[in-house]
Order: sequence, then C-alpha cells, then structure tokens
Amino acid sequence: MMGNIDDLSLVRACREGQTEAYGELVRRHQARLYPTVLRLLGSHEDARDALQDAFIRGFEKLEQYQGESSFHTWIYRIAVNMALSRLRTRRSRGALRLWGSRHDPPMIDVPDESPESDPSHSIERAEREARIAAALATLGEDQRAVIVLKDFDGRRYEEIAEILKIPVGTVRSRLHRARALLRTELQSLIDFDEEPGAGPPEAGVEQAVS
Amino acid sequence: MNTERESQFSAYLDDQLPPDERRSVEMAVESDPAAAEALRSLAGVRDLIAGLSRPTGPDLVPEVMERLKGRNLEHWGRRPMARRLRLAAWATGGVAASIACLALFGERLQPAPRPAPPSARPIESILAQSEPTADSSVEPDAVELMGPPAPPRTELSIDEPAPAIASTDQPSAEAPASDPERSLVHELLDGRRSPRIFLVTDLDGDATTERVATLLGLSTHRDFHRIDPPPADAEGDAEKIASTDAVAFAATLDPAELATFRERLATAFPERFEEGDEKPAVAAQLADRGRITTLSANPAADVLIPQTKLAIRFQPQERRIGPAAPRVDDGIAKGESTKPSPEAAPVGDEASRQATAESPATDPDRPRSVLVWIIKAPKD
Repeated sequence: MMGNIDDLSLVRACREGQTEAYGELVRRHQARLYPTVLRLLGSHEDARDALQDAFIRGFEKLEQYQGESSFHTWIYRIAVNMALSRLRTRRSRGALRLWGSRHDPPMIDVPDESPESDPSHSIERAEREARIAAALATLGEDQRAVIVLKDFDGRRYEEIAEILKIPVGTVRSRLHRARALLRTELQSLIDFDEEPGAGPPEAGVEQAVS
Repeated sequence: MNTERESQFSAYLDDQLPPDERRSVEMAVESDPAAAEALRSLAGVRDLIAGLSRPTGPDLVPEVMERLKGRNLEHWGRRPMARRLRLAAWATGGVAASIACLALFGERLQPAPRPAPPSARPIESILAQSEPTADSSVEPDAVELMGPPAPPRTELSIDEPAPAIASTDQPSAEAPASDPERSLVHELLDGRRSPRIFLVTDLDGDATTERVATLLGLSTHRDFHRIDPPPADAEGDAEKIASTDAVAFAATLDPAELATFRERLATAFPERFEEGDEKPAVAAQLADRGRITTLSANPAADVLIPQTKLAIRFQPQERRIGPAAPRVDDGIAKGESTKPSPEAAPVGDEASRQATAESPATDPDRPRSVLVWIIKAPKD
C-alpha cells in the first residue's frame, strides 16, 4: 500500500493524477496539525473546517511544492494561515467564541491515561485548560498566533517570522505582549504551579534566579 | 519594571538573547527579587501554554477526498487563475458578493484609440446573458473553498469575452465620452492590454477596501481611481443590490512601485491575495458602469529601523557644497524608498496617460497601469 511511500513520492503521484495519494498525505499529517489549528481557533468545529480547507488548498497549490522543506512544514504553514484567515473572518463578524464556551463541544479530549485517569483529576485538568483557553481567546489574533506557534508548537522565532510574514523583532515583541497579558489572566494558575510540590520550575529560570 | 526589560526577559526564556544581554538579565534577576518574579511568571505562562493537551482530532480523509473527487492536479495546475475565478457575484449574488480590486499592468501601448463609450446596459443584464458554460476550465469546485454551495447561477469567467465589450461603441447615456475620469479609467482597463490581476480576499469589509486604498496610495506617486459598483436599478431587487457590492481600484505604477505594492499586499494580506496574468475583458465594464472617484497618491517610504547598532559615516571625498545628503550605513540605506521622487515625474491624469500610451508592451522599465479585485470572504 502507500504506507511505505515517502511524502515526496506521494506528492509526485498526485501530480501524475493519482489523487488518492493525497488521501495518504492527509492521513499522515492531520493529527499533528489539528492541535495547532485547534489552539489558534479555539473550537473543534472551526478547527475541523479550517484544516479541511487547508488540505484542499494544499492540493491546489501542490505544484508549488518543490520539496525544499518537508511536506509537513509546507502544509503546516498553509494550515496556520488558513486558521488565521478564519480567525479574522470570525472577528469581523463579531462572533468570536471563547474557548470552552457552551456553544462548543468540550475542548479537552485528554486520553485517559493513569495516573491522571481518576475523574477528579480529569475534571480539574479540564477546568484548568478551559481557563487557559479562555485567556488565549482574549488575545488578538496576531498575539495568539505567535504564542501558539512559539509556546505550544515550539517553533523558532525565525520560522514564526517566515510563516506570519513579519520581522523577527515583531515576533519577539508580540510574544512578550501576549505573555504579559496572559500572565495577568492566569496569575493564580501560575502561583499554584509555583507552590511547593506543584512541579519543578523550568530549569533555565531556576538557574537564572538562583 | 519597564516593558523593554520584560521583553528582554521573554526573549531570555526563548534563548534569543546575545551573550551580553543574557548575562545582563541573569545579573538583574540575581539582584532584584521583582525581576526574578517577573521572569518566573513569564516562564509560568509559557509552561501553561506548552502544557495544553493535544487532541488528535477527527479523520478528515473522507471529507477531503470527497471534496477532491473529480479533480485532477494536472488540469488544476494548468488552469490560469482567472479561469478559476468567477464573477457570478457580479451577476446574481451567490456565495458572496465580490469586492474586487484588479490591478492591470498597463502595458506600454501605442497611443490607444479613444476608449469606447460605455454601454448603457446594466452590468447585471449583460452578464446574465452569458449562459453557464460547459467549458471545463470553469472548475465546478472552484468556489467550494469560499463557502457552502450556492443556488445555480449565471457564471462568467473573467477572461471570457463579454457581450458588452463588443458593443461598447454604442453611446452611453450614463457615461458620456467627455467624462475625462471615466475615459482615463476605461483606458486603464482596456481589454487589449495584458493585465496582471491581484485578487484580495475581503475578510473585514470596509477595512480591507481602505487598507488596499492606503497601500495603493503609498505605493504610487500618481493619482489613482476607486470604482464603486453602479447604483442599483430603481426597480432592482435586493439580489441585484447585493450582487453589485464590489469595489475596484485602478492606477498606474512604475515597476519599482509595482514591486513595492506587491510586497505590501503580501504583508498586509498574507494568504489572502493571488496574482495572475489574464485578460479580464469583463473588467472593462467596471469603467463603463462603475462610479469613479479619483484619489490622490500619498507616496511614502517604508522606514525600516535596523535592529543592529547604527553609525553615520561621512565620506569627505564625496562631500559637496549643496543639499547632498550624507551617506549612511547599509542598515539605513536599505530603508530608502525605491519610488521615484514626486518632483521627477508627472503627476495625475497626465502622467497616467503618458505612462500607458507611450510604452511598448515589452518594455519592463516603463510604468504600468494597475487594477485590483477583492473577493469577499464566504459567509457562514
């Protein structure tokens, strides 16, 4: 089957008219893209639609893909920009929904893994995530984009700048503003995490402040 | 603590500081508890975001493949952009009424014949005459990305010859040939030129239109033109009114201005604009029927602030008595505008005429006329 074929070969197959090869590309990459799109948009419904549109757009632009980056990186950029376009559209309609609002399905699809599998822990975690999600939703789309790409996806400043078509300095400033705003919203959670026993603080920070 | 300092802390967390600044941050947090707390809290935010769950989401393969059914990448890729775009919204409304900003690159032409007087026929009726085509170049799925399926409607490829164009020799009651503005715009949109089209997706209504106007004004040193849809017929129904919800801009740009404008569009509307080379015959009808407003250019340079240290370096051997400016480091020089000095070129309509009438189509150094078209984002 197609499971053993690399991405570039699948792209070539698509170009040769084997549209079904694109289905394999979608199957391979959808799971890694979905969380990012979800965190950008804040709703499963929108994330599903945006990612679907991104894959369609990717198919349309497939001839432009020359293999200079991995297919995942290439489709990731398309997906992020599709999500941001959808965000702007939604904002323009004044219909921005907060994450975790009653209109959306529950945001948290946390796998039931021990030792966090007891119900009280799941509820606590769901509430915690809902708070973080709601705080993210208060950010403007530009700030939300950089913080999701950096802190959630771990992208480098240079990558973010390229994806969002902004200077690296702008990435830095937007990221700081986003973190500063979220700090205000999430101070109690931050304080809780810093309590003894709440988990080890980040090593680099410890080193800097010790 | 000031914002710049905190911004430095944020960059420190991401390991984005040079060694000297990094050391500076570490010294600050060692000596100042408030600084240490600020750093901790920013790290706390970062960790909260990083710790959000990562649901895998639904399987999209069936839906994506269903939408791709019948598509063939080879055919799709070869189809010119303009053929993928339909002006159904101009004719009957549909998925979304289109705001269009077309940029026609004014080929250098031999002195063009006087533009044909516009037709008095409403654009809606003109376009409505075009039967839905069986031309395979009109992709059935072309607008799927733009929203849910719309009711059947009359469609027209923008490069498809429009009946109205052939009849533009007819005098028009609405647009007399003596109307210099309309004549000029008609000249800009003349279908015999080889236009390049910019299509911008309108996601925020007037803001997009205003933004395009601003960018165009900043990019050209000549006057340019806004073309609004014609007023609805007195007996026009709501659908017709909606169908004419479109705006276009026409202008003349020097090659360097064109490059700047393209870059600005790309920055302002990432993933929201396309560029093509088709001949939008139907675009000429914009000049025939639209309400034209001439706008003044507001050329301005992009000022890029270098992030590295600057030094102003005088070079005595090049100093002259007079207004010559001192040379500066590359960091500043790169921020200079590529646009010609407004004093160095004719301005306004006269310049537009010169620009479009004098230059042969093959000369890449001559000014080109520009027209842009924006498509409204789909409605839910």
